Amino acid sequence: MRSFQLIDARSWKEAASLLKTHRGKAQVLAGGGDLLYMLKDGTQGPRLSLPQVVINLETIPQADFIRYQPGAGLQLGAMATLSELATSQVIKERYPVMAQAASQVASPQLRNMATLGGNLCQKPRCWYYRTSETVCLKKGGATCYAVEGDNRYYHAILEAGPCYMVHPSDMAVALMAAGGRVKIIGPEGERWVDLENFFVSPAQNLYRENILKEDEVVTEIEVPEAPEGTRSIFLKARLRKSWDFALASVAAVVTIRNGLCQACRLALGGVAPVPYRAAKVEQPLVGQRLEPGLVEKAIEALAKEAQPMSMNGWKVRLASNLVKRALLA
Amino acid sequence: MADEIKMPESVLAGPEGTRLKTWGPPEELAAVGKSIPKKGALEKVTGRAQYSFDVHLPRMLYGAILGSSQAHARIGDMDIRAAMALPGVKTVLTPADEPRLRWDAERFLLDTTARFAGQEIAAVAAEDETTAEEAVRLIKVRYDRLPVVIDPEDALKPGTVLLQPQGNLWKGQPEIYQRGNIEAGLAAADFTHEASYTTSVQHHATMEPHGCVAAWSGDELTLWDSTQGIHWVRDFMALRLRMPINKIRVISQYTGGGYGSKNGIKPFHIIAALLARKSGRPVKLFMSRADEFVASHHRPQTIQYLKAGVKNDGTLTALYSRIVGQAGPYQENAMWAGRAGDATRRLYHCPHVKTETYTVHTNSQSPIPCRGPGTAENLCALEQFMDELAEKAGMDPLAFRMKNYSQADQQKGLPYSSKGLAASYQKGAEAFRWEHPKPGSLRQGEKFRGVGMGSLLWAGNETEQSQAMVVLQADGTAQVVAGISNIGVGAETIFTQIAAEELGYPVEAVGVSYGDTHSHPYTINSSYGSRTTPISGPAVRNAAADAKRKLLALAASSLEAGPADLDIKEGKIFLRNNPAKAVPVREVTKRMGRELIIGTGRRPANPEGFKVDIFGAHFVEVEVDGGTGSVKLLRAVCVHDSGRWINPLTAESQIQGGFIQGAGMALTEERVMDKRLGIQLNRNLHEYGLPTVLDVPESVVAVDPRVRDVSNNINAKGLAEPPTVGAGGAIGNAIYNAIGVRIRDYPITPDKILAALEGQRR
Amino acid sequence: MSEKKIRVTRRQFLKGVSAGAVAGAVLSSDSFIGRPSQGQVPPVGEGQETRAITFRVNGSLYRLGVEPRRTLADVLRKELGLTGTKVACNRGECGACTVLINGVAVYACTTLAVRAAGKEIETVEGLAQGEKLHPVQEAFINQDAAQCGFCTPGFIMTLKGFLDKNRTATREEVKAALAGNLCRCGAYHHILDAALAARARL
Repeated sequence: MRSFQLIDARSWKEAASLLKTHRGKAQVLAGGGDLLYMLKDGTQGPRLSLPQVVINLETIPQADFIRYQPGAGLQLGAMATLSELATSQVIKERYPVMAQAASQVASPQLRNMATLGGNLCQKPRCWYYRTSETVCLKKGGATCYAVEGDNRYYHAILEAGPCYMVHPSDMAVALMAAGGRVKIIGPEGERWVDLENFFVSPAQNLYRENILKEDEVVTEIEVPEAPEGTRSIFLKARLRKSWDFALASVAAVVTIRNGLCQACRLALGGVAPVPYRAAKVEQPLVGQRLEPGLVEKAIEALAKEAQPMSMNGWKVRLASNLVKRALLA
Repeated sequence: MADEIKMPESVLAGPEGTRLKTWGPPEELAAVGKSIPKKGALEKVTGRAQYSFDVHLPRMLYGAILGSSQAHARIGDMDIRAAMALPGVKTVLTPADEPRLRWDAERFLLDTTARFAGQEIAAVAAEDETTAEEAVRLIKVRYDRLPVVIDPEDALKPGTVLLQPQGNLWKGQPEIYQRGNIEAGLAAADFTHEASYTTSVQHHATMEPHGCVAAWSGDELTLWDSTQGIHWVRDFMALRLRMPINKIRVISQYTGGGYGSKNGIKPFHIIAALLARKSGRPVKLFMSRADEFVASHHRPQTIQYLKAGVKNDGTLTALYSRIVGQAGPYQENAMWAGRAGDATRRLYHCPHVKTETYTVHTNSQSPIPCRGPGTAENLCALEQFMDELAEKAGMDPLAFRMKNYSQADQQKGLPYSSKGLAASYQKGAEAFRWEHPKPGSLRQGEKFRGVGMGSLLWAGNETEQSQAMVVLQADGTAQVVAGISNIGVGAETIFTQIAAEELGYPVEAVGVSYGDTHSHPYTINSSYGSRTTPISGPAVRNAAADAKRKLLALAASSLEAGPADLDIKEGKIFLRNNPAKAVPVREVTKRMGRELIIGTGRRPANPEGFKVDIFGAHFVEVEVDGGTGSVKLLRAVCVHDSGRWINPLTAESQIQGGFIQGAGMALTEERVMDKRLGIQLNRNLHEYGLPTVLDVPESVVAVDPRVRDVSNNINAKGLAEPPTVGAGGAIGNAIYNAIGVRIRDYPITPDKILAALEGQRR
Repeated sequence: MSEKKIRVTRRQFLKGVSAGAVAGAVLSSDSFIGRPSQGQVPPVGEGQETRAITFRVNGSLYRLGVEPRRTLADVLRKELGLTGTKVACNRGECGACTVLINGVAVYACTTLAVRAAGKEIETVEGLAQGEKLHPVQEAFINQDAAQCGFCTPGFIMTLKGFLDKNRTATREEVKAALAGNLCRCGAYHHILDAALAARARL
């Protein structure tokens, strides 16, 4: 692993100002899983550099809170660990989609270390991106090797190109369905952004996965109160039952009143370069009773939208099945 | 099994013309056949066990190897200035270093042509691991790229880049076996059936990486190595470095997994020794996890086409297989690519058999044995194929297999030293409560349940030399001295049981010492092929018999009897005709003062006129999720005719673990390679899917059919590999039974299952 | 409370707080001593400034200086000689390096050593009281739960951390807790048997 200078941030503001001071050379360290992985692998390219300065966020006080207020919803510090989210009683009761997602990320030890903020901001896991022998498009090269290469598992079937990565975060999928938003702090101040607008597709910006500027950092996540009659679920398909990233995942948050679907938010993971909101599946369900026939019909939209690659057409079926299962659960 | 067995006399030959007793069933024995925890377990659970990975020497440097980033390229100039300039870097080795050392007849240790990605082209020694790794990255290499071929079928096409002068087909022609006349056999059939299967590369993925610590003292080299066999490492090092055997000492106390990949030496052994010599300091060189995948070899990828002729009553009349195995670019290890035919040739009775094996050179690292080499791949295909034939014949899979039971070995025309396959079927069917429902019939919503079974055959040992010692101490304890490595299967523990049984000592009074070529005899070259127990165990028994003979001679005077009138039981020496007259062993041995009794023993040859083979049957139940394509293993019953189970507890460990490795091969483990670039894409432990605790069946029940083999004096045939070779076929059959569509490409991953179900729906 | 002074390698030396002061201090994650100056970007590979850390490992207090890039696994193994903590993947993908930090199971290969400052670390070497084994260790021996044994310390630490807080865990819960540890020998069934046997004795 290359040497780096480690600086402890004492506040989010300080973290942002350190990022500014060391612009282009610094990265933040939350749980550490992904950053250390890339440092050890030496993953870099013309448009992807290893940090020379690492800003430690663990030293920021009170950054890992989990708070719930009736009416106001859930407030989460970006440094809350996934274990804490998975086992929090209030989250399990009121936001099952999030507890379920958190409990299916990676492995128990990684969940003990990994933070919510880090999970949202992790880098792609595309094997051409992570492989040292290829300078892929996203690292600053000229080719997305996945197009003609092996794309059977961890590449996109929806809204991709020119890079065909899938976003690896499970929490992002759950949060998108739950209608969450993130607080971002930079040297100039803070702002709130809906999770739906947080991620950036390769078509918008090849070299970033989210809207964070180089000197900004995610500090807090908020999830609104779910209306009465809301149920939610997170389903994840993977090769092994532990550790693995999603082949496809779905988060569904559905409000049912008088037997009818009042509101429905569906987000999919493992299928697109950003967590994918399946609006076209949601629309026909609203105001209806969620019955198998209707759901079957609605999920056809997914297959219609999908543009699978050479080897991953099977994921269209997988994602559709997961959505169906989530809606009829 | 019958309690009466007839042991050939030659097998029972003891020391000095004596004759060993035939051991009875486990109930009659004191130490053998008992479940006892492994020696060394205390060290392992406390963290005190010193693996070679844990060895730390004063002034030790750390080595790292630069592997070619290209699958096929000429290596141009290397710029090592930046690497050398990195603080802490002591030594860099490149192909430009003189004198150039050959690895083998085909290539230099650090060659100027790389023929697979990961091939060693340079090395570094530095003050710490991170610096060594960084330094390797800082070596600038000019590659002149050459065309790449990865797929073995592509490699056989005309116009493809040639990796060997005669072409990409190893030896220029397929390897052909035949008996009878395949055409006549097919013509005699009522129906024929054919199918193609593929198996993928499986990695050994040992938890302790491959590596060693090399230290020179003058012209003597000591190597702490993570190995399956210290003696082979020593012998090969001596050969490559042209050194006398007594100047090389190989030490290995604990080895963190091998499964076939830690036999003999690899280039890194020599590189570590050279770095240590050049730097004048000890060098520790262990592979990174990524290098473990790309450079430490693997189980080969195979394509198996099978065709059979069958009578309506289920009798096999003909069996043909065309096997394509993926070899590396070199002659080295090519033989391991084309071994997926043994079970096809020998497992079932069939008069007309032909196998044609195409071993094909490609720009991939070469394969080496991986737990059950060849046969594990073979049985994935053959056992599914047998089920296909049974279904066509309208028979239960078990009944079909019994119909084609082979009583004798058909390749050598010899009777078996023992064969408990029928007993395995019977015991397995009972324990599993075997019933074979109609394929696809056990469905609840999107969940499909199914059961499957498969037979297994693993080639037993041939005669080999083995020598061991048993040392008796004055205080009434004993020590087995054996030149083996401790790879975790429990051979060292079994040796203490064998010695205790023969000596009449309590098993707690018998210790074991192993793992150092300077002080331990050549008990095994390396622990591979499920051979250590049947090859070395009999030598240990003979060494114990020799020690016992000497002890009884010493005891004779004090008991006023001839040595032949004495025996030992529960640590007491007694008169055979008057067991009440007995003295504790210690009373006799304490008279030895500071001397020891040293018993030596070697292994008698296998008896003439027998073939030794290992058998078994696996039964599996699965649940397939039709929505996600994932397979859940529910339960397994594994019956193993491995001859005598010396230690049922550790035997169960072997069976459960072996089954899980086979299940990994069947369901989640696979090398993903970019065929154009020739590089492996999943070279880490999250994308390469080793089974986790959540991926294994709730139960894997190990059943002993209680066979006592007659080919050696401990009645054991070997157990490590059979549980792996038996898993894939049974799992494949269970998946078919669940969903009603046959998936012939391993591993059986969700993409294949969803595609199969989709195809069925249409 | 014992104080151990350990060998300090070439780049690591801390002159600082007296043993008594450290031993008596209330340790918290804020107890970093000697922060590196900010703003200077070191050239790659250059001898790095070290950071002084104080932490407790298996009950003993240690003070040492470490380079920020060094992992806890590396420091435990090389500086403290605690080689029971194994490194098999070095990427948080196998669990062989599992240790407890303040009672929580983490991967030491993926934890920077500086982050252990002020914390309590437990490794496999700390479980036995003299020659008296921890129930999990004893159960591992009796159930033959260690085959090659290289993953064993990681499994044992995960179980120790889990069972300390979940004395009534079911087999399914134990399984879920062990989902971050790989055993290539496939000893999972005996490991689960050992876990349940140990749980009964805790």
